[in-house]
Amino acid sequence: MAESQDVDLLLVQRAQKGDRRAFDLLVLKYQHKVASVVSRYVSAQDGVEDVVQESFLKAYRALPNFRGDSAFFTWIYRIAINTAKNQLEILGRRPSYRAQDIDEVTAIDTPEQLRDLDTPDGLLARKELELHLEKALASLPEDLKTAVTLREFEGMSYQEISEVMETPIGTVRSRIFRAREFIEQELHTVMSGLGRKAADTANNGTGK
Amino acid sequence: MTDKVNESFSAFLDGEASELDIQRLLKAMDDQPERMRSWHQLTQVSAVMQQDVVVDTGARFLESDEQSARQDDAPLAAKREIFGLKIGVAAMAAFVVVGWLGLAGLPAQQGPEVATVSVQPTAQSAETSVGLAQQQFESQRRLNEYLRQHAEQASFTTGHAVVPAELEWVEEFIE
Repeated sequence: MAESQDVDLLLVQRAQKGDRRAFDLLVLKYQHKVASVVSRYVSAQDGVEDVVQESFLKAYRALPNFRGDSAFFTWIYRIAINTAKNQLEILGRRPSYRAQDIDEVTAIDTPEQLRDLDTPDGLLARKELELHLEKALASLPEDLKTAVTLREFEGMSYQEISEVMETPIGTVRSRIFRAREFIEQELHTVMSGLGRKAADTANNGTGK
Repeated sequence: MTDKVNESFSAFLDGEASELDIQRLLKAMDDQPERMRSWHQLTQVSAVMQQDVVVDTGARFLESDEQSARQDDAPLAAKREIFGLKIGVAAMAAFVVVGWLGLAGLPAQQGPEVATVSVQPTAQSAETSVGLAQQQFESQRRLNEYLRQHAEQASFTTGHAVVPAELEWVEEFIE
């Protein structure tokens, strides 16, 4: 099993050779994390989504200069923060007080911090989404629920989960994927209708 | 296989993917680009669970890729037409040469110099014609195969591929 950073570097190297698909994978992996970081600097009306997109575009153009001295996510976070600051300058705004240094940024994605500035609407929508998520989790078979819970909420590695559940890593991989697939199907309807609005509002509350 | 690929993506999101997983994902992206939409939704689920800010940037990138691919496909289609046209021209040229050889057979019988070249009676001339056309076809087929292999290799490293036009044996050209 390759380290996550090794895999990222492998994708960066392929992207540097012109493989756009490799970069797409990195976008898919980090888009929401980057958005969380950006949302600490700019608000939804200032365009979190646009800043995130611009950040990845800048990163793609600057790929030839990326030498792998730092991890890809550190690099993209730095670009995102600079892009967000530029955006604020253009808009003549000051950064949100939630803005933090890059060193702190990698460790800030905890729910409590993200909920700091939720508006009442955002809180309500977030609550609604959480209810659907809880329902989906409750509907999961026990083995899938345990695997995905240990991963998403406890942050355990596959190896650790495999030890806790006394099952091979391959089974852990499979269970986590199947749990996500199930939850996606459950939340898809919610998020593509009222839930999508709720998610957006919730995100507005957290900065989107 | 589908589940294996999706499992690989899920593991990739968790930073638990191997190089084999990455190869599998990249191949799947080439074979079934539409699969990335479902992967994007999978990332949203993970983001919701981790209470990250959910965005559609990935989807926007995929759309932009699709647009680029469509633009790339336009000249590709033109290239295919040109390639097909070249094959047609080559086949016609072979036909003309074969026809000329067939016609040249009659006067050639009258002169010793020409007779030493390859002028044969009609039956043998037809045989030669078939042989030449066969040769032409074989060389074109080899070139096509080479181009196909090259395109396949390129698809692993660049995400772009050129698939040569199909080459068919046309009986009427050699008659």
